[in-house]
Formats: sequence, C-alpha cells, structure tokens
Amino acid sequence: MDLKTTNMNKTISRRRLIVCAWIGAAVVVIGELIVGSFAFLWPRKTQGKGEKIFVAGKVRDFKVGEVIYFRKEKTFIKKLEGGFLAFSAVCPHLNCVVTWNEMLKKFECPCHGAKFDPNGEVIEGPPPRPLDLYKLQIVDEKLVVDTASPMVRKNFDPSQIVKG
Amino acid sequence: MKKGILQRISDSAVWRSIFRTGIPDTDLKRSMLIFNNFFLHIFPAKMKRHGLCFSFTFCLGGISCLLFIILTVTGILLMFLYTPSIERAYFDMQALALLFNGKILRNLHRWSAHGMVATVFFHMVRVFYTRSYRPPREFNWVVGIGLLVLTLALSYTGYLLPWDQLAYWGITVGTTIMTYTPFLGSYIRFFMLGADEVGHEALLRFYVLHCVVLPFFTGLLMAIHFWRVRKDGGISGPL
Ligand code: HEM
Ligand code: FES
Repeated sequence: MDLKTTNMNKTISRRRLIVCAWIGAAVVVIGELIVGSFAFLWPRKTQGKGEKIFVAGKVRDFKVGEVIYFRKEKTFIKKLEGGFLAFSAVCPHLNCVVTWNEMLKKFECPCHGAKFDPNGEVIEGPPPRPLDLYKLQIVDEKLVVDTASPMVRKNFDPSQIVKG
Repeated sequence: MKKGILQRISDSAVWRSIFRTGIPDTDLKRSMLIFNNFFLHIFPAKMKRHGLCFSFTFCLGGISCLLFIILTVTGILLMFLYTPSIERAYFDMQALALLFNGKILRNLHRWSAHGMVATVFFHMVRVFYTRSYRPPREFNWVVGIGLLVLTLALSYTGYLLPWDQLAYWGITVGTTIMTYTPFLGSYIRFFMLGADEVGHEALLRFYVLHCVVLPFFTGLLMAIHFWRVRKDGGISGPL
C-alpha cells in the first residue's frame, strides 16, 4: 500500500511521456533551425591584423603645421613643432569621416556638423570625445602607423605627440 | 425576348463558374457578391453608418495599405533593373532615368515610401485620439506597432540601396547608433552589416531584407491586422 502510492507519484503515464518526448523533440529541432540560421548568417571574420599597419612617409618630408590625409587608411598625419600626431579620421560621434579644412584650420564632420581643433579636441557639435589617435612609430626615419586599435582619449595632452 | 450579349455572357457556364452570384439585383445577392469574391471579402458585407464617416478614420489605414500596394508593384519593376552590387547599384539607379517611365517609377517608389511612414504614423495618432486601442482592440494595437516598426525598417533598408553618399553615411550613422545597445551593441552592428564597415556584404543583406523578408512579414501582419479589425467588431464607434 505504502509502496504503491509513492510509486504512483514518481511514475508518469505513457501518454504524458510521449507528449513530453514530442515537445522535447520539437524544441530541439526548432532550436537547431534557429541557431543554425544565425550561424549561417553570422559574418565571416574579416582581414587579419597584419594589414592594418602602413608607412606614411619619411619624417623630413612633412612640414610643421601640415595635415596630410591618407584616404584608404582614413588617417590624418599632423606635423607639429615637437613631433607627430596620427588621428583617426573616423568621427567619434557616429563614425562618419571628417575632413581637414585648411582655411579655418579645423577638422569638420559633414554628418552632424562637428568641428575639431588642430589637436583633435571638440570645438562644437555632438561628439563625446576628441578624435582618436593611432599608434605612431618612427622606424628608420619613416613614419609607421598602426590603425588596428585607435586610442581613445579625454583631451589633448602634449605627451601624446610622438617626438621626431 | 431576345437576350442581350452581356446577359448571355453572365449566364454562361464559364462566367457562373467564376462568379457564383448572378446579376446582383437583390440585397441578398449584393451581399453574396461581397462574400463570394476573394478581393471583396475583406470588406464587411454590412457596416455601421459611423464606419463610413470620413473624419473618423480619415482613411489613413486604407491609404497606408494603398501605398504599400503601390510600393510592391513599383518595387518589383525596379528589381528588374537594379543590381545589388557596389560596382553597379549607383549606376543602375542613374541609368534608370534614361528608361521610359524610369524616373516616374523610381519617384513613385520613393514618395510612396515617405508617404507611407507619414500615413502610418497619422493612422496611429488617429487610433489613439479616437480611443480605438481599448479592449477588444488592444491586440490590434500591438499588431499595429509591429507594422509601424516594419514600415520604418523597410524605409531604412531601402535607403542604402541607391548606394550614394546619403545612403552610405546614413547607414554608417544608423548602424553605429545600434552599437549603443547594452552588451550586444557591437555584435548587432557586425551582424547587420556582415562586416566591420558598410560595404558589399551590407548592401546584399539590406537588399534581401528590403525586397523579400520585410515585405513578406508586412503583408502577413497586414492580413492579421485587417482580419482583427473585422473580428473586433468593425471600426470602433464615435466617442
Ligand atoms: C502598415 C501599416 C498599417 C496599415 C496598412 C493599417 C491599416 C489599417 C486599416 C485599413 C484599418 C481600418 C480603419 C482605418 O482605415 O483607419 C486599421 C485599423 C486599426 N489600426 Fe491599423 N494599419 C497600420 C498600422 C497601424 C499602427 C501603427 C497602429 C497602432 C499602433 C494600428 C492600429 C490599428 C487599430 C487599433 C485599428 C482599429 C481601429 C478602429 O477599430 O477604429 N495600425 N488599420
Ligand atoms: S558623425 Fe560626425 S558629427 Fe555625427
């Protein structure tokens, strides 16, 4: 008697078992379809890190105060008294590409009218921070820029200038 | 009396096999005509007087539906001339202007798209101000929200297709806004674009969404929406 009631509580009926099996199978199949579709649509990884380094030119070819744009790399190289700065041309607001206005000595973004001073700090407009910098090295009197990981900064500081 | 030619046609077996109801000369036959026709059956066979009052609905839902049909027809025609590739898309759009009716076709598609966003929005406003979202119509409001989102998504995905400056930067800006989604942000952008930047992959993805996936779901939700208007007791009454 005692044994029978505890047994009754633990077993499930044949009907319930089959219903559960069907639901389980349906969940597995539908889950596979959904996950499979996402996996199918998930983009393949793009190019490796190696291609993100470029040589901007010889150190002595740059004149003080000059800002040179590298279109393919979306990079500005600026020569100052003490050295160089490499800006990312990608606007820190919503990723448009800024241009250098030689007349007004400002970087300007066409998308929402942001303006940046020659050191990349925001003068007006919506961007939350100055233009990002790229890692810059001087190797063999040549400027080598690494555009793999832009350096986010709060404001301009002379220590950001790479001597050369 | 000799039968006229129209009478003979409408009495013929072929005609009667397509249109069961003969000449609708009684009220019963008139309503049967509506019931038995696939295209007319979305209209109620009878409706309340206030449902016809123009200033209650301003026909905004109907206008949205009409614009969607115009967009489907012109969109299909445009698909015959457009190639979703970054080498060709922009030039295909320019070449369109040289074709007979090409410009008017493209402009119909563009203006109807702008118009539909407006009419869907005003339709929503009208439903709100007439308190038509209240039970038993609360689920149709939810279906409507789905339609609003789909309408906006259609506009946005279509915006990239001409592959001009506006398109390119519009999508750059919009997908960057997506990165502000908590936790998943940059993954959503990557998934939407199919790459780190707007390019060939993004154009193809947006093309498929714009021409197949989104119109399909919009059509589906519209069918449910209209069905629910009827099942919820027709157009709601005046306040
Ligand atoms: C593709 C977009 C849409 C289409 C084609 C559409 C179409 C329609 C049509 C033809 C009607 C009949 C009454 C009328 O013409 O006003 C209707 C009613 C209704 N719609 Fe929409 N609609 C759309 C979007 C929306 C949206 C965005 C909402 C709200 C979030 C909404 C909520 C409703 C409700 C609650 C009704 C019932 C109103 C009543 O009974 O008075 N719809 N819709
Ligand atoms: S993207 Fe540059 S100001 Fe908005």
